[in-house]
Amino acid sequence: MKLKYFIGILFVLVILLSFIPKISGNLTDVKFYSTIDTTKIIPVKGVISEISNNLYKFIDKDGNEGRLYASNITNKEGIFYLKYNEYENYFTLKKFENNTFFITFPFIPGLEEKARIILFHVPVAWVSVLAFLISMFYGIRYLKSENFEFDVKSVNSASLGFLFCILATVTGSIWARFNWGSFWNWDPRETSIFILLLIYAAYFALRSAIEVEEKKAKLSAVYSIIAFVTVPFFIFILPRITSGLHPGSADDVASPGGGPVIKSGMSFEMRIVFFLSLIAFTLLFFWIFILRNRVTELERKKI
Amino acid sequence: MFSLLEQNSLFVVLLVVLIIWIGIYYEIIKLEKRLKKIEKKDED
Repeated sequence: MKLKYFIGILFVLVILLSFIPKISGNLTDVKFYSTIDTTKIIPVKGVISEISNNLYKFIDKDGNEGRLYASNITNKEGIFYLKYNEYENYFTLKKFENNTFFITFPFIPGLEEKARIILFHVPVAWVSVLAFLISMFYGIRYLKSENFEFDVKSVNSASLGFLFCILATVTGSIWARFNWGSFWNWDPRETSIFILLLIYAAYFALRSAIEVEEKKAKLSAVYSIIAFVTVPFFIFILPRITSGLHPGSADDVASPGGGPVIKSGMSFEMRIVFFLSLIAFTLLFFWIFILRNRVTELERKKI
Repeated sequence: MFSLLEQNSLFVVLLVVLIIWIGIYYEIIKLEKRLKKIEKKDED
């Protein structure tokens, strides 16, 4: 199958799998959050079986059992919106949703539906890192061979990486307005991506400032190598050793001591969709990169 | 618009996806423009 069709199908799959699954916690979540916020209603996917009139045995998706008081239930399986009565140890049903889709996403307090951003925002940021790496790779190859073809590829990759870096910043910023309260919070990861944008903006400034083709190619190849050296520090090290708002920071409860984003709060199902999205975005990047290289190759031949 | 997004947090993620696609679409439009230029040169 051709790459472009494969990417298309993969993206349809990713979008469907990102938005169809419902958020579902388990009974332990309901018990825990009832002590913090008594008004909170938490969705739990599970199966019920009747014990007596209006009293049911509830088994959630993780196998936890509990007693459920409810009336007029016709369905035995679905998403149950529950509240917990601490004193008498039973759950009450507030709302029912008939949904038996085979995967659900975990209930993460404070994020809930917004947790799905991880399936798009992180792959975009990842693609920008990959693009900068490829830019450095072709920069090195240019310095070795002095072949202009590699210089062109290095620039194409860097500018695609810059675009994806901007997209990651903008999408993160909009999401932050609704989750953290303001568009920009100077969280370590936000600060580091901002500096990274500045570093790569300087790369394009450098290129447009030099007119002699050979000098331009050589200097920008050297600069792309130096610029990429900073990337691991800004993306993988600095945000993990300092405390911040992003998952994977040093003070993240889900992954103590900091670590990769996938370790914090994601369930197995969510991780599968996340990696599908990662593959889809990576392939999309390579496809656009190849297209761009073909166009620049044509331009060079015509001049 | 703002309150809609605040009340339905799923829409925030949809907006994020929309922005990413606008970015990718912008890149493709730019490529198309460059191709058109080449085609014009070819005709001349």
